[in-house]
Amino acid sequence: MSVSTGFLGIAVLLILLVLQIPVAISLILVSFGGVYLMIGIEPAIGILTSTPYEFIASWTLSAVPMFLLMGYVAFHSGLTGSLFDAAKLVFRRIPGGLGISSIFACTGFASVSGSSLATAAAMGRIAIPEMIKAGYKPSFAAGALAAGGTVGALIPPSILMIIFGVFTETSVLKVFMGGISIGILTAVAYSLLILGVARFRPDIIPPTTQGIDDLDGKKVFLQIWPLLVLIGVIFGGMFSGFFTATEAGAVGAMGAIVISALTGRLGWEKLKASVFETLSTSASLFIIGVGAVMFTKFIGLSGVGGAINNLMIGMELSYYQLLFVVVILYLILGMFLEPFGAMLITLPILMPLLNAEGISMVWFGVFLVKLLEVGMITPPLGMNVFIIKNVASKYVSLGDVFKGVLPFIVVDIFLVALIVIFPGIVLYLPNML
Amino acid sequence: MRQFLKTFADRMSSIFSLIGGLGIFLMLVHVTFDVLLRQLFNFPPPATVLVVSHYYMVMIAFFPLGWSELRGDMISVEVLSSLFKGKVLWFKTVLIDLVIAAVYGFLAIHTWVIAMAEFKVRSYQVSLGVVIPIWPSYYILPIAFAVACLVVLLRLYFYVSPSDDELDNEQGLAS
Repeated sequence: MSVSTGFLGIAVLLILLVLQIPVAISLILVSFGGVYLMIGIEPAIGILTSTPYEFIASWTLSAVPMFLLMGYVAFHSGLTGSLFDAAKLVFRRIPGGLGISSIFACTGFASVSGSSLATAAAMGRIAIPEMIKAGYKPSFAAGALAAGGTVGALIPPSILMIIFGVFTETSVLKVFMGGISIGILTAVAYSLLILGVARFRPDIIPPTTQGIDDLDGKKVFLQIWPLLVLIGVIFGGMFSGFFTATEAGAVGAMGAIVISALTGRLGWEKLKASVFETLSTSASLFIIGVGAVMFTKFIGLSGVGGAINNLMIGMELSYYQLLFVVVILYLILGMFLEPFGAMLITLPILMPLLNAEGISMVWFGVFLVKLLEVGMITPPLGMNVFIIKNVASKYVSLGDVFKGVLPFIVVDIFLVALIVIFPGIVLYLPNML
Repeated sequence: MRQFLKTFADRMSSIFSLIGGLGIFLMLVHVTFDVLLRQLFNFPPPATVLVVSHYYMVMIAFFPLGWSELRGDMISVEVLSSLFKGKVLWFKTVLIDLVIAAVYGFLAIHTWVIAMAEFKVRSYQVSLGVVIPIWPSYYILPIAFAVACLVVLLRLYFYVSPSDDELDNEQGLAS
């Protein structure tokens, strides 16, 4: 009965989302209704009223608005704009150079941001208008930035990796090191895709290098050095133990403000805009987070997770079969759940299975974040796609962004297979520690 | 009356979003000073984690809700938005806003009950011998949800009763 209520809840959620009821409200309604049907009104009200405070009053979560603020300050002050210019200088002669530059700019930005959403939002604002102006098909440009943003959670600092490390008692530093390899590999793979599209589909990426030839290398370096200093402060501080990964958000945001102000890039208006955009993004994401935690509780109570676990044990799966099931599971969950919810509901179920197979938790942490990030760009709940739609609403519809991101999802599935077949790609750097 | 209500919705939601902005500023300064004082003087301010979690985070997450609703920042799935037109769109918009307002209203009422319970026991937490009362922060939720509920209801009122200008425009377009 409970399991069927769980599956019914998932179906109702889909209907509410299609009816355009906001994601957070849909999650809250389904969770409340589901818990009420299963165990009564009092527990349903209990979950509804306790979850918002319990979820939000979190020290770890405080890194989110701080990393967002750092991203917005870096964006408004032009620190990240020069990163895009620097990447354009490097890739100026390559077909699809502007698109490849946007991916590597995302990678650079990921070094000062722990969130794929912040990366997608900050770089999307700069790169999408330029790419469209240069003749890129708007849906592809938006898709590239939605996918490029996922590098934000792979390259440290990464909030998802910190929570994984704490939850599984795995070294966060080692997971971070593994994330560097996969973050860079992802950026290279996306760039190869863009290169291929530029080579064979001139209707999507025009064969010109518009707006790139007039860049002055010396001027770009003079603009980019403050960002390099900021990246140095964050990485140096974290890896030397001067501050924790959670504190890195506030220190980084303060660093971005001080550096931008000292170099004359940040006025009151820009700071105000950064704070208000941080508020807007935080509020709309946190309320979805609240809904997702409620939904996670509902799904947990329904026993849907237990049903899946029993099924897997009964099937006596081999190593590769188990990982294949894990991939499929997260690809499906990623369509409906936000990454924190998907990770937290599944880890207790999967950890015994993973330990029995002797799978490295450092490897699994990076692998999991990669899978969760694929979920950030798959419909119907692709958070990165939503944020790109928000920042580029002038150019694209939500459907356009989902269409544009499809080729990148195919690349991601290929990368996931590569990580499974060659685990050393992830473990090489952590094993050096 | 309509203009008064619009100004009221704008100002009320802006004031609460400003308080959320204050939360961001306080968190930024507090955590940075905590790191600096701890590393340079081995003297961190007490209870940073508690204050950040129970006050700044709650302010940042909930106070701007009404403001975000007024700006239309809340995320929804728009894949099939082109299917809804004319009367169907009108009914759908009204229905959705009523549902959103009902959820916020329900949350406001029940989080108020929780806030009162926390007030009655004067809930607090202790960090390294420093007592931090946390009950006041529970009041942020009902206030923020009530503001969001009111803003959504006002938004719905503006939608179902177009202004004279908007009616003139519609008539002009029709003719």
